Amino acid sequence: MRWMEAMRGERGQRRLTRVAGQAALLVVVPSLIAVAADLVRPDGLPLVADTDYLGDILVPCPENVKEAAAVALVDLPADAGGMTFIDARTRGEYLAGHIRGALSIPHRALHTGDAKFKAALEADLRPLRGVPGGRIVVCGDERIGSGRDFASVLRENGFDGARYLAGGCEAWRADGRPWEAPRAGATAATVLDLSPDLAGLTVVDARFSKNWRRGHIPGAISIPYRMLSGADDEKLAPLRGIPGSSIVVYGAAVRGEGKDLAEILAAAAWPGVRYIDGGLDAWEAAGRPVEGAGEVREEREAGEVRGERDDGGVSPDGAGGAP
Amino acid sequence: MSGGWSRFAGSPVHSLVGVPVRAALGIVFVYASLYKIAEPREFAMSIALYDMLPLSLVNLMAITLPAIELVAGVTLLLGFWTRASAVVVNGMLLTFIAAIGYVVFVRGRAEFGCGCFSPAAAEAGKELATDTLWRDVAYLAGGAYVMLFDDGAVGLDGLRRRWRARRRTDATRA
Repeated sequence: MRWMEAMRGERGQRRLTRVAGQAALLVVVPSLIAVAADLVRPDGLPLVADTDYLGDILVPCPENVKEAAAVALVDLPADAGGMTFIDARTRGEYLAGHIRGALSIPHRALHTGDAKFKAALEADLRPLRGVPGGRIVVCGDERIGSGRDFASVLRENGFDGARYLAGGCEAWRADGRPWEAPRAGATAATVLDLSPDLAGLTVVDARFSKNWRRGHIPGAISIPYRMLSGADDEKLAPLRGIPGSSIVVYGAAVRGEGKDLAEILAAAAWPGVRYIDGGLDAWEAAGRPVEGAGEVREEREAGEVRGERDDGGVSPDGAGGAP
Repeated sequence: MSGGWSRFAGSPVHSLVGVPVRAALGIVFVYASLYKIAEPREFAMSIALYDMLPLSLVNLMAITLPAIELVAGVTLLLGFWTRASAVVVNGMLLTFIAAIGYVVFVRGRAEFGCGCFSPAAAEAGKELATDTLWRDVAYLAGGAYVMLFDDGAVGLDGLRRRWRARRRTDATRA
């Protein structure tokens, strides 16, 4: 209608005031009802977000807010009460023993990588949603700094105040604090413990299948550790029915995926499983036979690193290894 | 003000053209409010991801904003307090545009989940944030049109006015 004219003059002023008043009511009334409803509903939020963000107090200046701060053992309650611990080491290391009650979210190179891996990261972080960052302490492998790195990843993804345990997960155990370890984890076997023909044993190669094709222990079956989605993965089907004590796992010496896969198997349905200490390198060094070998070692390593980045996205449950 | 503008602004066509615009905006706002009301924690997380509000205000915003969206969406849809509803909706859209614009252009994060229709964490990377921005600008254009030209003649406002007018004529006749 001819509202332009209608909005002019004293009457128009009154109309404008009325619209403004209605708009104010449309904001205030729903807000009040929402607050009242929030107080009643069981999953309501606290009106003021949890101010107990320890990290905010500890971090000295706002510029450093995304750089995770360390927390010393002495600053944590002995029983870890009220804190959520994240174990950023590999799944195998976690299974071999971890802080009591800690969640396993292995820190992977892709966590700091490009946007393509955002979905995998989000899946990894799902169990943490709703936990205030100030209550999160990450422990990792101190040698590679995975605790600090993953705490920083958490900070960048909405968990302000997440910190990492100085000294890594091992420091917690060394201090005699509550630690959870399986009764029968995987055990190490040296090459000399094993007969050269591996009679009666099922040998599992935990590296990427590309590396298996380039050279492996004769008769070894390929179950790439980083491709596993979990302990009930279809790729473990060839092992069903085989007792753990007759399974031997190996990987490359430096990466430790042999031990990681062995720990997963031991925790799943194969107690007594062993892994070769020193992996394929130790096997070769002892002069034992290798099938299909002949590639240069450096090429193998380069391919493996590429493979990790390409494959990592498909196992968002955290079965991936440390970078 | 020219006579042409005045004739354009006063055209009765607007109360018809406004109906689909109002319906679209209303449905969008009602729909957008649903997940936020169902999962306040997820929405609070989405707001926190913008890293703009002080922590102490994040929850309050997460609780109140969806209710305002829902009510403004419904009133816009029904044509009740039409102009006021459009004012509220436009105010929210301006806030959203400012917030997303800040994240995209000032902080340079092109793949940012806005948390508009589902938790920001789940949205991240699915839609370019600049697309979200333009979508909101388009909504704002619609909201501005309703605010300026649609007086809710096809809607509860119109019913109310006609009912009051009839009462007045009855009163004068009596």
